[in-house]
Amino acid sequence: MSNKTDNNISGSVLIVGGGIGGMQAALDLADGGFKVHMVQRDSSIGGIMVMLDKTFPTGDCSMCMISPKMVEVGRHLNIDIHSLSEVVSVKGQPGDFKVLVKHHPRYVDPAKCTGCGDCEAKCPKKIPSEFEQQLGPRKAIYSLFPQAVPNTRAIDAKNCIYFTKGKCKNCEKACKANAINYEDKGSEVELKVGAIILCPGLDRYDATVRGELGLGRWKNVLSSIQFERVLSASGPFKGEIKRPSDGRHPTKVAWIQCVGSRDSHKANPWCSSVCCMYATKQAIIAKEHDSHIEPTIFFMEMRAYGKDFDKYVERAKNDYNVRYQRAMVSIIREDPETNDLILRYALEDGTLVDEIFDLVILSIGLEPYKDAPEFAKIFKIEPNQYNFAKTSTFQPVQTSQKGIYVMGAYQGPKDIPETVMQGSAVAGAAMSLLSKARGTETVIRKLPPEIDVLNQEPRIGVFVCHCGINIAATVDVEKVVEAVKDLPNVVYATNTLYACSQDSQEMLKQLIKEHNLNRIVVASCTPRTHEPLFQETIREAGLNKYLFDLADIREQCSWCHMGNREAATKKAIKIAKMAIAKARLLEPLKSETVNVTPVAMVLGGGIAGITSALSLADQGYKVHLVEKEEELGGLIKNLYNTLEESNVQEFLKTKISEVKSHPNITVHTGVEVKKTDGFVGNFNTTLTNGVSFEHGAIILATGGVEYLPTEYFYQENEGVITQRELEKKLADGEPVKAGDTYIMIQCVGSREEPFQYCSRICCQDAIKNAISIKEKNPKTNVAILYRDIRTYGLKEDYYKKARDLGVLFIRYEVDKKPIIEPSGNKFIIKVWDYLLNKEIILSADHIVLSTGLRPHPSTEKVSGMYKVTRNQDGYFLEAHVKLRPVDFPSEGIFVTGLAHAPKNLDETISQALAAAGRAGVVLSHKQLAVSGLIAKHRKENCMSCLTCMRVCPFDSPYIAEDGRIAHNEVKCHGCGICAAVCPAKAFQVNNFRDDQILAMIDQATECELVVAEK
Amino acid sequence: MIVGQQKPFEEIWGMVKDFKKVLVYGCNTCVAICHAGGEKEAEILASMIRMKAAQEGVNMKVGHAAVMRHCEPEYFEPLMDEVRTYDLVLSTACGVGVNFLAQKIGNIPVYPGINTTFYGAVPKPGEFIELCAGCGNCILHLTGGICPIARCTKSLMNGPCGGTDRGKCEISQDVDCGWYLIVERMKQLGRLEDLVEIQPPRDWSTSFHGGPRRVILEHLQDFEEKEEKKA
Repeated sequence: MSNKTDNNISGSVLIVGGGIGGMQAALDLADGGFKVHMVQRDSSIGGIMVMLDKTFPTGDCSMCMISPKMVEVGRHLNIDIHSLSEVVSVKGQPGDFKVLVKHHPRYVDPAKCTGCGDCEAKCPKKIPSEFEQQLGPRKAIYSLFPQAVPNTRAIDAKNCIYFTKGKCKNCEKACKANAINYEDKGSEVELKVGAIILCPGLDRYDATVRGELGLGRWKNVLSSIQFERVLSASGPFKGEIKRPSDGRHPTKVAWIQCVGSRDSHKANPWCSSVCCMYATKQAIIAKEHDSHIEPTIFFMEMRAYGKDFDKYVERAKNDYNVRYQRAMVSIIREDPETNDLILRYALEDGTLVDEIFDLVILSIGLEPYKDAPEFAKIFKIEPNQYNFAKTSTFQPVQTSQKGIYVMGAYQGPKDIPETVMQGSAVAGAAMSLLSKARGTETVIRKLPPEIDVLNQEPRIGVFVCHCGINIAATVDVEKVVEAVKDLPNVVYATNTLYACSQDSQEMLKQLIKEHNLNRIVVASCTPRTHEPLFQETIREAGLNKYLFDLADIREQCSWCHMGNREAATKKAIKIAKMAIAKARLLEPLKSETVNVTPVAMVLGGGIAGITSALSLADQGYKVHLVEKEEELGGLIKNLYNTLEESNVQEFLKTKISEVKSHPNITVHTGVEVKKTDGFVGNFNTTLTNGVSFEHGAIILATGGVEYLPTEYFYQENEGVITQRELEKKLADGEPVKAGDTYIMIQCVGSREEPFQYCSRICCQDAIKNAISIKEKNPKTNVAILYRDIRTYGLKEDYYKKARDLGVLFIRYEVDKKPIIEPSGNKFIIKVWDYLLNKEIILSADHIVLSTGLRPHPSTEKVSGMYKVTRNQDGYFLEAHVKLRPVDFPSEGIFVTGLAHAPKNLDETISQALAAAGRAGVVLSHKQLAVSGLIAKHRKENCMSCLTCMRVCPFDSPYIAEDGRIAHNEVKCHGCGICAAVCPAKAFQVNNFRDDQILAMIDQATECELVVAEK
Repeated sequence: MIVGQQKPFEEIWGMVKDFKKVLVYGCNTCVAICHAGGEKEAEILASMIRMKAAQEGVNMKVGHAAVMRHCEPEYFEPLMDEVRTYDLVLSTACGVGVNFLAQKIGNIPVYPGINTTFYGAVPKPGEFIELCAGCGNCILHLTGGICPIARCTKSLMNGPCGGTDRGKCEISQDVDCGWYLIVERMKQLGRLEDLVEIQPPRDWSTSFHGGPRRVILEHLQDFEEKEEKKA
């Protein structure tokens, strides 16, 4: 289906890298009408996030969060995963690249392999697992981890006995699907794509270089990524925290920060950005696993700069007794008898301490892969001096090559939410570039009309799967078939080697036709991976996809009852019978659709709103940009330069004129929103000036304000100014006099109750202005009084530069703040010096306050208007702090910029592109399908007690014009909370109706009684 | 709305354990909204009693039903024949419902499944607060819409007692001082001076102290009944 545009722009996008960021970009693009090719060098997608045990601050299991996304990517009709593959060369220009991709041999035919793993069980060769960080074994035929996508094993030829010694072939014998192919030579394909997205991620620093820390030498020294595997319930120790040397439970556990980071001698000069927080998380999780653990974190500076990070660190200190010791450990020695570790460090006053620990974790940093220079050459992009991709503040996801974008840690070290954000940002950027080719290369599945089964007696087909020997070795599969085949309404029952294999799917379709089956039960594995496959298959045979139920007799039976054949078989029969009981009551569900108005409203005309509006307009959608001030620009009207860039005002001017002249953008200034009605795809907004318009998506970019200090004589003494005011003076060319002393005070209005959060920008503001003063006149004195200098990522360079220029850094603690006394034209500053352990007195001509950020006062009103929640500090709360950083739980509404949390200009621009990317996905659909699995409201039972309306996270029940509760099914996600709380049982969730659940319980308990009688 | 709370299960079990056929009878208005005694709660309670009976080896049949309102005969009368087939009705309606059903049912006991607690509002899900005591002589116009009878622990009429403590009542830091709220509210309305006027001792006869109360709306009463009375 190619109706290519005249200028031959391709509607496909290449994504290099299959980590969480690449996955986000792939899903956004594929859902937004583009074909995606994902090239991944490992045998599975997932990247680093799959190795993590849990993520902070929620403590969510990392795998449980990412795995559904991997499945979504793996099953997406318009995403092709090229695993075990690499890009060899790139030719062409934006819109029309030709990319040569090399598929390394896998030796397993993905078309035949069902992922059952029987081969792996029979493989005699064990090697240390890369995924388990050498702490556990894997086989020579392997998948990286059980949830791997694609779910196809691969042979590691370097370690395979057959490939190295010429005999064995155990895997071939074990494979009942005939999927092993020792003759696989790999292949090369040429892909034609319009844009390229690079997200290869980062490697981890090899800490064995730091011999004094003992990694690889002392058994009880682990790297932080190894410790993630130790913590993981599916890891080598099953989540039990043990010392590798003796299996004993450790008590004293130390984390050593900045191993491989902020060290230009033996490692990398940059800050890896994530280690402070992951060490804190690991300390908390370790303590949760084993309350006897006493965690200590050795650190230089606590860089808890992100949203709610400081609160998490405070929790670690106060609720989990995590000890934070400000010191660098100089050497780790081992007690040879006990394998305990002796850490030597100096206290701040210079005292040397030797302290014994049971286990030591090195918080290793991130660095580009060794082959990063060649990687950059393949794509002809310019690397920066450290071999990250070079980008700019104003175009944070654009490489030096047009049409090639970069995201994630390869652009600079960053955490999961910022990576995900950039995933949506590059998707938005690519969608703008290729907007004309949208939908030209995507595939839509053609389906036969649905058979009407509503008034038919249920005719159930039951398929019991062996899963190779996964199920059959423990459960007597034939007995299960025997037990269910004569149940009422069961018309056909059989067993099958692999229910999920291609030929079984064909057989399933055939049998549906042959026996007029109208309900299907498959007893096999988890619905997580395979339910959508079976649903698609029965839909292809003309059945509504909800006429299906899956009985999990693998994860919930054979795997947990291995070696107990009789009981497992009995249980499998019970599980199958329950599914059949439910299947009798299944009804076809209709998926409704609603139309989408391809117009967006962006609320807030700061740089976030401007960037989102331009991106959406370039994607081809009309945009209404609403700003309550008379002028666009927001906070950065007062910003003249950043650490990296000097022409912010010029940039802003260009952007404002682009907005004003863009044919797709209508700017409304000097007005506010009076009201917005409707839901995703169908909003209707009226402004205070009476103008009203329809739109399909909303971006909230309401911004923030700078804190106006009441501290340190600000506004009383004109010698006390804020960083922003200093910046303006410096930009206006006010002379910097020789001999003048500037004292800057950090964290004014930040990191203290009631504003217990880091404003993120102030350290850099101070360093930027300090550098600027020193560069204008080196004969000045500049001192920065700070609590922690938080120049994360590549901004660390500027911290070093400031020190090299002679800027003094003096640390203070919140309980001993500097004291300022005006004295004539000057100031006397008293501050405690922790190195000298005494008070020092400084004299200054200028006091500069680094003031924090606050959410814009309008945030509260906007939050009420759109029913979106805010965090304790008043910033909008995203749908999920890790994986949905610009979404709200209510669909069609997105957040960006300072309204979300304090952030830098480049981060704001990234997030604004991300919000535009996410909104663009919504607007790209002519119609939105509503899932059939939603709650149904029975008005006649309802007494409008409002409980549902109050607890629904998606705002779908509402008070209708008649004053009673009604239900907007378009907003419903089918979570079932309403059904659980409704005192009148007015809500029933489709396919989880009371009668269906009761039928399953009755079936289960009936079996129970039979057992009891025996 | 009337707020109720389910009785502790042990107490309920003590009431029902000697009966052979028990009906848990819910009411789908006030007590359903406070998640204490609607049809769903009645069904859950019936199920709990069945489980307890099975555990204790007691042979007992337990059913459940519910009607819209127990305080109006038209709602429950259609079910009366069925209800009368039970040995015991455990009503999860408010006390009004229990009384009223007991009057109508005849020879079968009606026991309470919930404690009827107060008239309240629902400021947020899962929270119910008492705001009115039903005293029969409303003075909310004098106190800024905040009731000193219901919201002052001592039902004082002329300002707080000595137990007021930074806006809280001496009985608990969780209880606001009603008079503190009244004063703040009157300040907000610019009517603080009104509170200077002394309220005379209160006539409690309109409240329960005057005995069971009754309201008659003559224009809505049955014509024949009225005639009968005249005669």
